[in-house]
Amino acid sequence: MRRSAAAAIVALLIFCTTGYYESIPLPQRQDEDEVLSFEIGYYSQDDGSDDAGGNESIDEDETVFEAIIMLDKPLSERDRLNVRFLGDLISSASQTRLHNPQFRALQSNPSGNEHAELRVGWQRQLPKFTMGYNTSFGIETSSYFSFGYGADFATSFFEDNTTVSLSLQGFTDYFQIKLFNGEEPGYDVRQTITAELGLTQVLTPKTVANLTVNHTHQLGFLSTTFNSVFVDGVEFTETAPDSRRRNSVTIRGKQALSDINAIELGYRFYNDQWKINSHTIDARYFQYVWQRRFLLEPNYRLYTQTAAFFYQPVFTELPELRTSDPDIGDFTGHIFGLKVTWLKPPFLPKWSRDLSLSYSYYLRNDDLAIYWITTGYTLNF
Amino acid sequence: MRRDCLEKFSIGIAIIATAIVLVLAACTPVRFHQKALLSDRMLRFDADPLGSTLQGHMITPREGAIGGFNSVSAGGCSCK
Repeated sequence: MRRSAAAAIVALLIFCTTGYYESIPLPQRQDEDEVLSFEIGYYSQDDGSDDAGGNESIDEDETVFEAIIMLDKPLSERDRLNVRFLGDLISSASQTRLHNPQFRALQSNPSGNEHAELRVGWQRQLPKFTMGYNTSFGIETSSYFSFGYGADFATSFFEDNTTVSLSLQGFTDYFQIKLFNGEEPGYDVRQTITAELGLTQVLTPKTVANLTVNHTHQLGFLSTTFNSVFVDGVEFTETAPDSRRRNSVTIRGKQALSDINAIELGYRFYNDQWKINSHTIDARYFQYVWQRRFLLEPNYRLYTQTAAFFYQPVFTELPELRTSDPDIGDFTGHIFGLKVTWLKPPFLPKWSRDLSLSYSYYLRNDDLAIYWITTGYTLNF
Repeated sequence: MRRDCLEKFSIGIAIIATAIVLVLAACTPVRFHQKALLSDRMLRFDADPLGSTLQGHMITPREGAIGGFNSVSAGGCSCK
């Protein structure tokens, strides 16, 4: 049935493209500038003063500092180069086992104290479509290596009111297994392939909608190496299945209310081979203020999921597959956020495009509380 | 098993129906001169790709679901 649905969508898209494809050329890219962007984020997770949030057996306090730099540069009239560097500094007590105080000093390492990733992409604009390729390399504290590779394709028709995109992305991750008790039994591999089909449709001069279908297949070692479960106070390694097929369908719509404000509503349904079903509702409001010098974006997000079939907060016996990871347990969460973008700030160099600051607060009903602050700066040359 | 099949069938039908409705909307196309507002950043889905990526990195490792709302995909990280 899944194949039939996929075949029907592909047939529909082929029908649409063959009918209108030849007569209407794509517009040329309007923004030919070289763009340099910076984004910095600080993330803090708190599971309460008694560590009772999330997994009650462990302390899950965590902070992450992440910085991203991206350069998007035209190479010719048709080609663009995109280079992105990403770095993380992670300070995590999530591996500080309350029942294993002797391992506390060891357990920050498996989470990866430092993570760095370099991604290089190339995009070519042809008369009737755009295509691109990317490759990436990631490393974490000498215990983890990742190779990424991807390709994407997009075309527009119906007077550019309809855009269809397809992207394929793969990752091969090699990592040293570092268990909760400090043992290092060797290396293992995880393979991830993601296919995403997108359809963006202009509905009216003030309305645009997007439908995205995503399928991901992961194979190999899918446990989190340092996670563990407790059976009568005794700690054992987490064991997850070695395959996970993941599907999601997302629909989003944006509606302008006037020249200076708009709303966005989105819904996502997700399910996977581990029996996790999830619903996400995302709502955003956009408002220009002070003669369009600032853009305010308050947002709210509701997220709910069921637990993976091998999840239990506490085990009374030791099954073959087991996890107590609250992130794949059942929970409901609410995110409240506000983003402020200052467009062309006068005190910055004239080639500055915008400066942004955002704050988000994520409250889950398993008593994990998270907030993050981000700031971004974009320049046009 | 039957419930699973029925659920997948319903989801497939919903995806196809949504795609058809969206594409049929192009039967009355919006002309080029009517698209000034649509090019504004508040109506673009990819207006801030870097901010969206960072947001995805904050949320995705803490949830079971993935896909759709940002450019972050599974893999490329040792944690999930």
